Amino acid sequence: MAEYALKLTGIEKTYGTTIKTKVLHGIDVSFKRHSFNAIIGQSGSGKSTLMNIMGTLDLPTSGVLEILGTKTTDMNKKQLAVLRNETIGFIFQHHYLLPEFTALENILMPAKIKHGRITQADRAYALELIEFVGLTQVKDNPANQMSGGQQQRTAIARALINKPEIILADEPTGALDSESTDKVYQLLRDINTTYQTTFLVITHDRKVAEKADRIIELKDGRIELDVVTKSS
Amino acid sequence: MLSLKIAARFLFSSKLQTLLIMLGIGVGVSVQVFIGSLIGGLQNDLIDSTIGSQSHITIRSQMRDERLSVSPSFLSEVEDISSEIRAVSSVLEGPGTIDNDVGDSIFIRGFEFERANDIYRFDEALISGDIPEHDGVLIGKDLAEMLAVEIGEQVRIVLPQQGFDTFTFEISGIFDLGVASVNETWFVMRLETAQTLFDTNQVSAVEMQVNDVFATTEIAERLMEAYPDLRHTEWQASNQELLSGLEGQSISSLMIQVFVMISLVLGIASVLAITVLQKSRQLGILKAMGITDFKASTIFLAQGFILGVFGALIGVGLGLFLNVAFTQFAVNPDGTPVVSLQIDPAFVMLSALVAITASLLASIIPAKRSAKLSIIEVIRNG
Ligand SMILES: Nc1ncnc2c1ncn2[C@@H]1O[C@H](COP(=O)(O)OP(=O)(O)O)[C@@H](O)[C@H]1O
Ligand SMILES: [Mg+2]
Repeated sequence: MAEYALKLTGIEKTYGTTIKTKVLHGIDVSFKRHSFNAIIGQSGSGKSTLMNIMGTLDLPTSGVLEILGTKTTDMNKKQLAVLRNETIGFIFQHHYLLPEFTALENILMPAKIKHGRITQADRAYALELIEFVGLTQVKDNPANQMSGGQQQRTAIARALINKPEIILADEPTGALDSESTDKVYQLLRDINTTYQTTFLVITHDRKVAEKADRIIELKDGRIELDVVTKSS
Repeated sequence: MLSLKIAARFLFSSKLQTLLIMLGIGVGVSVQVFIGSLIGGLQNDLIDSTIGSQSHITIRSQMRDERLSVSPSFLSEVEDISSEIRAVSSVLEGPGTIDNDVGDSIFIRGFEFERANDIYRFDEALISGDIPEHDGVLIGKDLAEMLAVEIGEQVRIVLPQQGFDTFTFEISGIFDLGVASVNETWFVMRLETAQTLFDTNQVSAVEMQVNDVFATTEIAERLMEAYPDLRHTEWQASNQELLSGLEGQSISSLMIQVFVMISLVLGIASVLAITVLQKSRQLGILKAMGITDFKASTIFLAQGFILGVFGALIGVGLGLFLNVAFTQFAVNPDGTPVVSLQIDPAFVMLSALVAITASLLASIIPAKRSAKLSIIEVIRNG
């Protein structure tokens, strides 16, 4: 197994064809497996753009991305979809649950995409995750009939169902109150210790960031600061 | 399976919209089923009234005016040639005139009524009197009117081919076979009577009816094989107008169906195109979770399929209901339906299948659009 969960070499991103806006200026950075990383920076500094590229949701204008030692450059859309499904879990600021499905069904969806059906093991693991994120009471609620915090915890459980190596979270508590925020971060940290999942979390919250193993600050599309708070 | 499940949920989550489009498809299919049954019924009525009491295939001698010797077993032998042959009857015929000032032409036809009734239904066509038991004759209502005769009265005829001898017959019944030329000229008697009259023990022709009037050619070919020295004619030879009438109806029916289908396809396509927009957020997140573009597009094909299947079911139900309602309410004064509808299960199935196929076709464009939808647009504009 590769040493790094993610390795970025010279990643650049330019938006627009006529009026070009360069958003990322040659990012070189690697993230160790099992580490918990925070990405901070002002609004518009390129955090989301970077994370979307790391998650293969968006393509860099130039540069190379390696996920668990595999270059993504030559992979086609289908291969990328499979890679995302099996190795990356996403948590967004807006939870993006499927409102047509219940909490449990939402959590099982990546597994269903992976296997074409839901295995006994998937179901057992989903129930374990539901327990873990504290949703047992509401697991059969339609996704849009839960509180914001519950919805976000559902999204977290969904990100975990396929036991992904990497979790990418873009301001996962941006839409939550401070109490829920604390709960969610504690949860992410617990998952990191329990399941050894690599975390990259974009956050506004310095307090949250300080609990990470490593903090990276972006400024105008460049890495301004890279602090390792505790080595893993 | 995943696509089908997601599609079902998507449809179920916007119930009203789903119901409306299913109804739309249903109405389209019901129009098809109804028009199809109506045209089918009209055609059957037309076929029935035109050739229902005619010979469908007639076999005669190769030589004009030469008669056939028919043994008693011959007719059942012909009947056994194909199970499609439902009636076989022999006839001895010849021209004659009424012995009056005008000298009205008549067409003398001698039948074995037990067999001939299977083709001409004289028993049902009688408006008065009975089938002759001895030497009586049946004449059409128009001839009876022209001659001003009634049951029991005598008619004298002249046979030009028998040296202008005259013969007298008692009228035992008057029929209405629904065709003017028949009602005006036929002079119907028992085969034995005709054989005595024409002084022969032969017959002129063997006539038959078949179950499917459009399958005569095949049967005629078999008859030819079995009786190479006989000549056959099929009903089509003398019913060109009927054939072109039927064809015209079929074409106009097809046109209606095609246009109904086109409007269906357009309707479904536009509704599904809107669903792609409505569900773009869901599609984006499904793609982020690793659903492939192809799988994503099959969600919309599945939606088209589900809409098609349920729409078709609604349509078949509604169409059959329309048929029943039509036969209940569009009736003649005597209570019989104006047109007796012809519900053809194969055609109903076909309409349903066409609707499902059309729905699938209509969902191709939305499916392609959903495959192209970019995740990043959705995530950004969340
Ligand atoms: N599709 C786009 N077209 C043009 N500019 C964009 C697009 N998406 C993002 N940007 C710009 O890129 C910059 C970085 O955006 P983003 O990565 O969202 O920053 P952050 O997440 O740090 O707030 C911003 O200036 C934003 O306006
Ligand atoms: Mg952002």
